[in-house]
Amino acid sequence: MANKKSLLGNWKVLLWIIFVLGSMSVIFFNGLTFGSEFSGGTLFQLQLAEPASNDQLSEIKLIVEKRLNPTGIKDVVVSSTGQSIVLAQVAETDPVEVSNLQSLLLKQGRFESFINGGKIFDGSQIVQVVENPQQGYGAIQTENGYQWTLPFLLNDEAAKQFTKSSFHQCTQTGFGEYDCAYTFFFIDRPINSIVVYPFSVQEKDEGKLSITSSLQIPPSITIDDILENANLNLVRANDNQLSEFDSNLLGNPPENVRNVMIPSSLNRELKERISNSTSLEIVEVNEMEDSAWLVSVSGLRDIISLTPGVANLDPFVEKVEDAVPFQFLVIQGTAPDAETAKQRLNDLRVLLKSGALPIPIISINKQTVSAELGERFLTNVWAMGLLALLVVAAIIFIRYRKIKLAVPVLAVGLSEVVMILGFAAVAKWNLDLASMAGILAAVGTGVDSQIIMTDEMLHGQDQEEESKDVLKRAKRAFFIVATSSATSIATMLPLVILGSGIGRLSGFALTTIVGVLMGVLISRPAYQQIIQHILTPEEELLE
Amino acid sequence: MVFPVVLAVIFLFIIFVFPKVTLGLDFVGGTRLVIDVGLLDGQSIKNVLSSELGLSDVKVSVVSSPFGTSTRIEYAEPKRLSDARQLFDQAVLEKNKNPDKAKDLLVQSLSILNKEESFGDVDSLLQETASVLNSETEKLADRVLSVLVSMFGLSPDASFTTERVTPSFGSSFLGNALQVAVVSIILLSLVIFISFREFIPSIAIIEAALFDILTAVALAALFGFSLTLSSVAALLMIIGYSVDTDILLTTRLLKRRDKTVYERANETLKTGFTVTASLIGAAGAMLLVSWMAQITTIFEISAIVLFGMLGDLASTWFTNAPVLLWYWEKKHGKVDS
Repeated sequence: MANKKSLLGNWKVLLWIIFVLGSMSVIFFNGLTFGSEFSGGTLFQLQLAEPASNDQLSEIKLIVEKRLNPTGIKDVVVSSTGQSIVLAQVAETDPVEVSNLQSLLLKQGRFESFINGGKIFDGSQIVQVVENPQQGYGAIQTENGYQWTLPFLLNDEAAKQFTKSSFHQCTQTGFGEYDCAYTFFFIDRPINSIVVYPFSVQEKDEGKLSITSSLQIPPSITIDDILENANLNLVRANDNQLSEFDSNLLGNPPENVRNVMIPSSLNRELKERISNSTSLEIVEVNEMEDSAWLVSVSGLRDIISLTPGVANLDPFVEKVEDAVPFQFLVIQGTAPDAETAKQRLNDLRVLLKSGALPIPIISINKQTVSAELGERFLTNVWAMGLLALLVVAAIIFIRYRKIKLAVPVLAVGLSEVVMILGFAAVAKWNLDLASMAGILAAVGTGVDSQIIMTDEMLHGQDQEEESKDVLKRAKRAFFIVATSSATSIATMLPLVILGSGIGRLSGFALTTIVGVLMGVLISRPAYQQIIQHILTPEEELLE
Repeated sequence: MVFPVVLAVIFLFIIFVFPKVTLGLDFVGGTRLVIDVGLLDGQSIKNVLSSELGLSDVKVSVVSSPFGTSTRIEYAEPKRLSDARQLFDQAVLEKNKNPDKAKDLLVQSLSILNKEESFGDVDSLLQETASVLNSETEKLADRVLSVLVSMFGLSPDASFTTERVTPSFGSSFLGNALQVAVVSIILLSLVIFISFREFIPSIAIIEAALFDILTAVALAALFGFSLTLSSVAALLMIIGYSVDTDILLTTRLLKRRDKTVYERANETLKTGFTVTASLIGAAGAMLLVSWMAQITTIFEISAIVLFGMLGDLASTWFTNAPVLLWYWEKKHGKVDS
């Protein structure tokens, strides 16, 4: 038993044990994230027309996320690989929904801003959204939090319109205090649709306004304010009945109208009535617990208050003719912390740019795996890995006829899997099939090396002086193992550095490299100690 | 020495002449739909999809394994769509150099799709064309699904996977993969040369790795696999495994001094066989499970690794070993075995 003590006292073995235990706890506490192949869902791979700079890439990622997840409630993960591929993973698998999402990805939004029911300007009239901190863009710390500022530039026409529509749109409520009108920002207001908005749904919406999570709605804003500014082709369907006006609108829609949007909760009777009275396509828009239906259907994205300054009240200008058109406008606000301020700035910046991408997306690849199938995949991959290791152990047993040689190979192989997974948990990797393949590849090289090391140690036993030298044998074994690891890394490295265009594969290569490094630095030195320990008594017997 | 050369020639013939290796979905683009139901009648699916929807290059295969049956349908875009896409791809290339030409190409592309151009700069036109192309592709996919549903009474909640790669993506994958492969082989050679610092043994190791890849690709072609991104991963794995046995052999033969070189070679043969057998065993186990569970990616990887390891038996023991023995004798004079 003295041997056992010496094995545990060996620092190489100890290091290995620490790494394995550490990996296990990291996996336990951090958990592993699995790609859509295992969790079910859809992975979009977006190809950009040309390579993007890092700044552009983060902008694109932000916009892609907004396009897929305008209300911020879905589970969307956006990442990039290389400079011209952006990956977006969503939990959606329904073909129709996936195809909707896909068209959203390719569509540039239409930004419009309204006040008192009249349009002030739209996305095409914004000359520039200023992103230079020297011109005021950014957030600064103030006494009670952060103040953020987003400047933008309007063209002549829009500036005139803005000055006219906002002129004196504030009422003084006290000395230097004003109550100002709000501007409403929309993306893709449904101008080509008839919107069915029954009073029953409106009632529910009134209650939801204050809890709508996708945007902050000032307390004084009512549903009627939103309706006034959204300027929709409305069908109110009072008491489940279509009024004459409603039927007329549905039956003889304006020329530009292409579809009818209805709340998903609409009862069947009314749905039938609507579909009977129109030849237009009916589109159901989902109702959500924490968001007013009107907000999602109208595309309302933000509500911003005017300031006495832009309303020409402070300083006071008496006549609208004398007001100088404001071309350079700023939106300002406060946030409790830097993170929220930054978020708010980003949201508005993307909004004002109509969610336009700095570099267009030219094509989309996608892969959808249903959740059930994904789960089954995962179980099978584990089973497969285990079986493969067992087969290797069996072959080693057949070759050397020693069960105690097969066990360490199995244990060390498993430990390498655990260590790679531990690394993945720390680095928050998205484990997909390719990275699973990488784990298998790394364990494969590990098994190769272990057999070579075992053999090297075994052979020395019954041989001449030179190779009896344990150190020399170990050195030679190490040379083989090191060279083989170095070649593995050398073959995989180009894939990590240059292969970003083939996203999935660089994940494979990275996993393999991590695995090989874990092997050569941690588990193989330990293995050598273990195997030496196992073989030593026999060597003594032989002598 | 003659044996591997003959094999190599045969493999090259298989790869480039007959039956020829084919590039898979990842590289040529197309749509793959795997439904967890055995639709059984592959031929009629094929007929319907090509006649009614004008799809070119429809491949249908039914895979049965103990865990169930699934139907795999692959199709490429109809000509109209791929023509439009080609113009679009050209426009992307021309966009910065020659915006006017790019615009022209985009307008042509849109007219193939029966859409009138709207006015705007190249970028917005590009975006619009991309969007139209996308919606046409989606419409097609919807029609394929609805044909399948109506013809075969599929339940809408059948488990499925779909995968779509656009051709331009595919060709850029291929370009990138080839570039990576060349750099990989150069780096690998550097590592080997630095480790052994002898020309002939190093060349022999690299040659063996290339031979293994050749074997894997040839056998893949022979068994009707097409090359995908997973195959590239598998080929890189093969390089790693292939050099293991060769490094072992070279080290034992050239760096050890005990026994005769032939004894050392024989001993190494045993070790090398154990190594390769383990890998073949592991790949075989994975092949079996992934076939049963129908996990295509792993199935392809394990099959190709298996092929490569078979090649490794030949390359290590019929090429590398004789070369090394010859080299040793040349250096140290003939030794009696």
